[in-house]
Amino acid sequence: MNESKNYFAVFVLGTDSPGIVADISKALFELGANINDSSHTIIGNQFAMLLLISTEPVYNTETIQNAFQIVTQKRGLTVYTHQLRHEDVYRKSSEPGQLCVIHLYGADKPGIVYQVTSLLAKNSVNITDLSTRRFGSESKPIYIMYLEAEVPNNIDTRKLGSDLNKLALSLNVEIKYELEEVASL
Amino acid sequence: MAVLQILEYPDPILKQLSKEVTNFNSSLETFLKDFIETLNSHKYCVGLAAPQTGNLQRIIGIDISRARKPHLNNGLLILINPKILEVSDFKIVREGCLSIPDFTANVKRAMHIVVAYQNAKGEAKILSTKDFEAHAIQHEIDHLDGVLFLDKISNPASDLFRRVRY
Ligand SMILES: [Zn+2]
Repeated sequence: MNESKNYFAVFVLGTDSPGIVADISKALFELGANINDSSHTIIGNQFAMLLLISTEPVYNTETIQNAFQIVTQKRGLTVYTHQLRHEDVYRKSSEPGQLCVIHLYGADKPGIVYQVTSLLAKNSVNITDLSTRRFGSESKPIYIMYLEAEVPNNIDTRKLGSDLNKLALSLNVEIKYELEEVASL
Repeated sequence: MAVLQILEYPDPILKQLSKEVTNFNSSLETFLKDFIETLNSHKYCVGLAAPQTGNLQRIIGIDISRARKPHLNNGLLILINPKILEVSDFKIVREGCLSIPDFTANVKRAMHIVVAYQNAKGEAKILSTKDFEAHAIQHEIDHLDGVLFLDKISNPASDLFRRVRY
């Protein structure tokens, strides 16, 4: 991180269409902003992009929003800009912890995501990636979930594993998890 | 004895091919002492390759007993001119690298390998190993070929994880 720069999280939402990413990056290039991290996904036909950008310190949320004016009007996008405090730019975890990967699938019912993520929250587990899909017929929907997280080193992973198994039993879903140390090489 | 400096990407040495060791002499012995001291100077570090210290020779050091958690292991191993003979049982695993200190990555590795190598005296050996130790050996052999986990990931959004230096 560069102390002399301003950092912003920029969220872009709209109906997907070809050239949308090029237009967004053009606006940032013309502003002289660096794209530090970015990720975008399509949910349904909705385009959602999240960017972490850094700029010269003269810029604020208003100037960033203005830079997107042409592209937002042209494509009907919603852009939200949030300025970050330097201490919030990158994650603070000082140790890699243990990697936790969870695959889950089964007949859909209310509360699957809620119950799994609450169990993890109780164990101070930090979710780093979560994606879900609902498919199958409307009368018999199937739910599938993939989750990645970091488990603090002081958490008993055997206890966490057995709690996940119990939860899978009560939700009547299949759950598969792996808990492993991140190799330092 | 001395702790050697670890090179960090984008240092171009990390992308070079290391040379076979042919002389098992006293200068190799001296290097190995420093190399092992360097490995031991990094907390929880379980593997190191000579090119990470700027020495382009086919030498790796592995010590899974240094991991945070207990894993099946053969203690400290110095593998010179290692060659992987067999691989099986592939799995996606997370790894960190001293030469890319800001990230960890998801990489596909064989969980069972057979590797031929020479020990510090130049004697030919064969090791069959699995899980964490097999994983570490593959990462370090990659260093001898100038290969980093950045060469192995497909999507930085899903395979690369930022962390602060520790
Ligand atoms: Zn490495």
